[in-house]
Amino acid sequence: MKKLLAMLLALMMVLSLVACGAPAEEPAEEPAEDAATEEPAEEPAEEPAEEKIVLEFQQWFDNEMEEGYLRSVCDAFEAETGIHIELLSNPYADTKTQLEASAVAGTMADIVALDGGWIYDYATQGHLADLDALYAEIGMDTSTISAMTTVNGTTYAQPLVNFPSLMAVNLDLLEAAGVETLPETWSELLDACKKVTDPANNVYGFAMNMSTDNATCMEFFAAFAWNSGASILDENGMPYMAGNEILIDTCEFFKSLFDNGVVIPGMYTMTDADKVQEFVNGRVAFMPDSVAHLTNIREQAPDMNVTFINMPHAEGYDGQSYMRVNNWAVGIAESCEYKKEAALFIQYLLGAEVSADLCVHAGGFPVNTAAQPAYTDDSEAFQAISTIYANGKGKAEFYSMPTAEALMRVLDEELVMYIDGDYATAEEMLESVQTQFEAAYQ
Amino acid sequence: MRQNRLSKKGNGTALVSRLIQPYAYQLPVIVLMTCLLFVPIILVISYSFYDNVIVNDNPVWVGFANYKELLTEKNFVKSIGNTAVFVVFNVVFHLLIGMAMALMVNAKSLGSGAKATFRIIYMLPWMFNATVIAILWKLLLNPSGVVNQILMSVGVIDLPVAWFSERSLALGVLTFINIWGGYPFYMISILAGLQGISADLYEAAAVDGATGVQQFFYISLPQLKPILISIAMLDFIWTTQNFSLIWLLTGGGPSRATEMMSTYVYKTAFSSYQYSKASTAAVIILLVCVVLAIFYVRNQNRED
Repeated sequence: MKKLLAMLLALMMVLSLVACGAPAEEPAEEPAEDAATEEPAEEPAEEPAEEKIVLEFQQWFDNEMEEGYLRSVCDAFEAETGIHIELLSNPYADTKTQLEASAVAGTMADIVALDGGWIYDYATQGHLADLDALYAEIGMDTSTISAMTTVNGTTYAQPLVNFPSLMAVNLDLLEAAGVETLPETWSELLDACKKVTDPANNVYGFAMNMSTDNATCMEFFAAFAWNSGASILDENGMPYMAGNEILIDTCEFFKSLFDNGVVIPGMYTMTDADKVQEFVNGRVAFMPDSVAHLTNIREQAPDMNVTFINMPHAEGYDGQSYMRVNNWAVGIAESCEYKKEAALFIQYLLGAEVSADLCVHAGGFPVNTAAQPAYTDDSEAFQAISTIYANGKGKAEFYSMPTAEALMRVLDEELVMYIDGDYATAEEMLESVQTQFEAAYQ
Repeated sequence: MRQNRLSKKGNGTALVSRLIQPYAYQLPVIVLMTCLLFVPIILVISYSFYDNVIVNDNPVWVGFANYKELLTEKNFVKSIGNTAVFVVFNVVFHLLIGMAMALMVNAKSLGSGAKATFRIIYMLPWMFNATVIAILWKLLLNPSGVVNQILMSVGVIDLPVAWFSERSLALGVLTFINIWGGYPFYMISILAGLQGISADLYEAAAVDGATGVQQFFYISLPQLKPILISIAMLDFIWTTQNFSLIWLLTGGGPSRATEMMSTYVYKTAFSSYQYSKASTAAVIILLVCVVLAIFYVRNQNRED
């Protein structure tokens, strides 16, 4: 009898385990079955439609602005439209992981924040909705929107706030070294770095993160070429690395910084945080960096005289000024049930007033040219950033490539090998890079 | 006749019940292991035979093509080499340092207070997780960090050394840090083994005139052999799978100088979205670990 009872208990445990496991399997199967699984899909879909439309917004923006600000923006949108926005806020790295997992499982949030490096892949994998069609459906005026991220001619991501990446300069170190004018060309930068560098006192001219844990650092490198008129894409939108004369010159210039001993030791594995730390500790004069770090720099080094310049360009270049621009972009999941409503939310965020206010809180620059942010920061550094942003054009060419992050990592690794002398010439190195970039398209 | 038939029926039910009973007891574990272990493993193995999965709606069966491609790819081969160096040095030095430390804190000449103090101090690295170890050593080995300052002040080096950024040094430095973080596990295990050896053996050896070194090689070492084999095998498997420390310290760089099989799998899956290729690499790691696990289990069985 006891044995039978034990057996029954064991069976009950098994049944309860199976019962616990069952719901987890359902969502994984649903997307694959498309419209075939009508019943389970219909039931949850009907209920919210009768009550209130709720859209999930997965992002990291909330964590990087004043607490409660993004919630207040969403509440204002709800007051206007009746659509409730549920914020799923996490730090950047967690958002990335969760987005990857949800994309694979087919459970992406309705509106998702997108980093430039993810857009091409999510778009080509069919996870993102066509924004052009949705903008047309809601009759959105895009004439004042300066940036939309397209993949193969279709808009899949909408930048909301731009963050240019420029060169942070420690003016105190320049003054101490007798550098009177801010460098505009590569040779001027090298000269200034030479004057500043003093290994005995742990002071160096230049620091840039090159750790492959976040290979987007290669955009800083490419910015030297971009601001010299180069493009790393050809007229067909394919990689243009091999035989790209300006890029070859950029590689040679970059190597010269190492050869002249003006870069801070340990740059190959330096992370973004390490780089900023070295800068605020007064050990580096020039640092390519996102202007989003300005507040951070001020907090950690309140006495430092700091300003920003655009990336110095090649000698003799006098064309259009370009800068690396990153942004907070959003996309709408293809699996979103209320795409039109999600597009209305994006339209709301891009409205002149909301956009201006968002930029003030985010410390960035508007994508809507009609927006007039009332920045309270009147420091010299912020004025310099504003002037460069107003006079330059943004570039983010890597994001038109598949697996952008992996390709930037390839460039990073090959560049290190070139600097270390594994390649005889930059041209040879870029040919290898070209081959690896082209392989990503196959 | 009828009673006989009923009795036979009763016997039959009891027989079925007796046959099912052991399996019913095992069912919860079988279900759990199937869901959490076998299904994921089988899925990953099956992925390795397709051109690409997850991001590809119509995966194509390619047989062993991914294995052929991977085993001839220079970056993966390099990651195997790096992993082999990393693992072998780790296991050997963990063993040597762990043994030395265990003998030290087990020495009769040491008072009980001193023993307890040293045991706690020597165990400290094992208590830190990978993130703490990474931050600690990053600060120590920063070009303008303490280690360089000391080496420069005593004249060993003239200029600061970029320990993680020198391609010739990075793998060695990473191995050193992992050795530092892992030896206490050996120390504790060996110490437990040493304390389990009967004092009679040492007394008898001493009466026979055996020296301390002879006692170590002829009593301690043979008695510790089962423990040593077990922990070495476990360490081999754990170190092969090490990811967080490497990722936090070098990210596999500079220029793949510290690329391990684990970082290779991560990059292939989550940066290049080549899940089949990543699964193939994961299966290769799994095979290596399975071979070791078999040796481990056989060793355990022999002990029993």
